[in-house]
Amino acid sequence: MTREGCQNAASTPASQSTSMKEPHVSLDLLVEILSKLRVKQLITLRCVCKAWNDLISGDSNLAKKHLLVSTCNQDCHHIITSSQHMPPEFLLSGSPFTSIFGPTSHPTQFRLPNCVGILCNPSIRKLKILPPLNSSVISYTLGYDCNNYKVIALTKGIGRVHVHVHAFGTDSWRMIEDFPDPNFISYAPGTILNNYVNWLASGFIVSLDLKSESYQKISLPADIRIPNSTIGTFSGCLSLVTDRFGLGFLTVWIMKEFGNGDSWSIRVDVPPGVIMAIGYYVIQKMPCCCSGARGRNLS
Amino acid sequence: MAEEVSSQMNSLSISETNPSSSATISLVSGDDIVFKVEPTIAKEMETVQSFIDETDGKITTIPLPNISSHDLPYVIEYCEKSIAGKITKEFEAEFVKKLNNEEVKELFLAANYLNIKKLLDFLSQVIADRIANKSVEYVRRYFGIENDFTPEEEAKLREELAWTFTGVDPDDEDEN
Repeated sequence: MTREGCQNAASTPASQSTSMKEPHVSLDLLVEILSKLRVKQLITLRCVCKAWNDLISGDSNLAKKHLLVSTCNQDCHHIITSSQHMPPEFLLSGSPFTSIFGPTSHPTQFRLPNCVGILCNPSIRKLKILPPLNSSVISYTLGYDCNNYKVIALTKGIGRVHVHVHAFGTDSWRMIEDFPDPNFISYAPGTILNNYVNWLASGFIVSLDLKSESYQKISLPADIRIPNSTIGTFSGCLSLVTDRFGLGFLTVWIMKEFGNGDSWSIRVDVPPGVIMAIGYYVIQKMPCCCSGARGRNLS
Repeated sequence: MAEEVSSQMNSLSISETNPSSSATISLVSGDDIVFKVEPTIAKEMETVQSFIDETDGKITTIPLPNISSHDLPYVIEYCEKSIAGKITKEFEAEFVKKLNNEEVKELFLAANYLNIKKLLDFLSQVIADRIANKSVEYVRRYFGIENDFTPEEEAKLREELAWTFTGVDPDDEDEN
């Protein structure tokens, strides 16, 4: 563009009338903006006017877009912690942790005595009671398969572990192929990475593809003691935190290429005493809080 | 007005001279100011490019009745940076620092009209940041929206959503 390029063109009545109009943002365009706001404020803004109320409470395009934006932003998530009171209350606070659905040491607190699962969306303060399952539930995991949320429930069978899938919008459970490790018993929810749910089984990781609902087994680094290990995510990779020698000396491994058991590498060693005091749960999630934009970088 | 535009354009002009100036595209703003830009700039504006493509490149003067001569230089500046691969956080911060709320909204609409996805995405984030944690009243004023709830309806809705009304920033009057 050059200065000489600036000159008056022939004036037309139509162009004059449009020049000083109050800028008006249509509802379609508003979705672009609102999808970038925090859920809590978004709900507040239902009070702006009737059209906004309808848009925010009922527009599926906005909901999808918001999910897309918020799942790309790993900076801030919610953490649920349980209080010491009986019956347990669950407190909500902002934290740089990845989404957390209950402390792993007390998973049963999220279930009613008759094995009914409750799903809580803390951002909108809504609860949904999941359809009942007839057998004893080992764990629930909430995942997302690009199009829809799915809850994965593991239940105890005779000499086997059954796997049930509940897709949002339905009112039932669907059984898929049995869990690859028949003796699996871990009350912790699976670890979500992209569209995969991962569980640390005996000697390998079981990874369930939420889209195809098929499993793959991923090998662990050599000389790993399972009872002293937990899996999590770290910088977008699957991670394994392990007490290699049983002496409280923790090692964080990451799997650089998801699904490739040969791509494990040691990310960091943590001296004894640094983490143990905080407890098992934090150990599992520790890599997450280190990988956030505002967190300390251990690399 | 003309003087103001010229001075703005001066700061935006491309330093090198282009020998084949016949290939430039003329963008005509709503208030009839002509801006000559390189074809590469036009490519960034999908609306303009599809207009050029439809006429097999014969027409190189494009009327943009919805965009004022005040806003167009900003759009062009952004497109130039984008082509040069120089859209940095620092550039974006500087870019919006000089824009008031009305200007941001106008540019947002211009980006939509011209179908410049990167600019639209960037400005929607800018607007989201500017209304983040602001009150319902502030947001209404920001977008020029009239409250069409009856007082009873609004009170009922506010009661239902009372838990979301914590942590809202106090309104300030720096809207423009």
